[in-house]
Amino acid sequence: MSNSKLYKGSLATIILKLLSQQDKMYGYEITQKVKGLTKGELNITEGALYPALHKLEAEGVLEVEVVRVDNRLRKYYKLTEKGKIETVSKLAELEEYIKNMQVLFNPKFGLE
Amino acid sequence: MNLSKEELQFIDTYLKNSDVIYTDIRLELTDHVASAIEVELAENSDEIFYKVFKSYMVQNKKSLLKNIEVEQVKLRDKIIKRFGKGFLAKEVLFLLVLALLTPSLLELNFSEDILMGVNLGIGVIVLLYYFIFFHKTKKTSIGAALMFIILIPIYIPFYIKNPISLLFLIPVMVIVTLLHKKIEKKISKMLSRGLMVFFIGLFSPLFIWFTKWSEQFVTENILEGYFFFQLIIWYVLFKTLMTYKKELDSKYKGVFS
Repeated sequence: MSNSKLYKGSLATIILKLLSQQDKMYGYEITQKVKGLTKGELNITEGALYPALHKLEAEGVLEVEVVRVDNRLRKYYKLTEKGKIETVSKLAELEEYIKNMQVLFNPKFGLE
Repeated sequence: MNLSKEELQFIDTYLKNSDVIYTDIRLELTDHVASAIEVELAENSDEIFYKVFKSYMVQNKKSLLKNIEVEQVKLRDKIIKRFGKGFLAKEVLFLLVLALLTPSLLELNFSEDILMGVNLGIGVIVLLYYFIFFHKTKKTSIGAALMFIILIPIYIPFYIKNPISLLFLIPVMVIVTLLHKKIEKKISKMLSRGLMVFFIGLFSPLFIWFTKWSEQFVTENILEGYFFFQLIIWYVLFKTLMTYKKELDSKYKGVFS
């Protein structure tokens, strides 16, 4: 992830959120989706994305499907049942984090 | 615009030459690079494949190949951990108790030749199982990492005469491995390997002395208990291999055929 170290801790949650909106995605597609949604603000590098995907796969949060597309093999990732539960809790955790950050950095907003 | 088979082969060969040796990792990176190049070629119809490829690699090669080695070590550790956890299964714990009790309850009197023969026989079966059922997928990172657990039980027969010597060897191996892991990132690969050889050289005479000294404590019960323990190790190994075979089969269904 090139922009900021702040995003690093949220990479897994970003991946899970995207996969909860789409049945299955492949690596390059995830990087482009994030780039598109953030209007080029957030660039996930290959060196950060694939280890994160492989870690989630090893934890049983994601499952893999390899299919032949345009003369080559493509590895798709999708959420497992465990992954769907994990997504809900990770998103709640991130929302809580954002809320706390807002309270800390915008005290007025927090008091209202 | 889709890349041709030759262009895809070019990317694959380039990655292979850049030490991305495992098929499963390479297929994913080949697709990533190919997808990026296809987008670039679609946006700039004047560009040619080789120019776009070169420019992509100049910008992204470092990031693309980052962490591959680290991931392989993590995968190997995970497989060894899963193998270790296999000993905590209920049926294995039951067999372990049986292995401890049987020699003292029954007069088995196995000869050393039988013990060695059974072990070698099982060893050959495990190796055959690996090469037959994993031969399509042994070039994947999982297939390669599995070799580490295949090698563990190959050493079993060496301690048939004196299993007590393992009491010396196992803690030393664990300490050396942990030390190696701690220092390998801080020093060069060459120096790290050199230190490993030095440690092995340092402990070898002590190990030979311990083996000779402890021979006096080896009883029939210990030998038979060790034999049952070996069978348990083979059982856990087969179970682990079958789990990964199932995993690879479902993941790469039809891909490596």
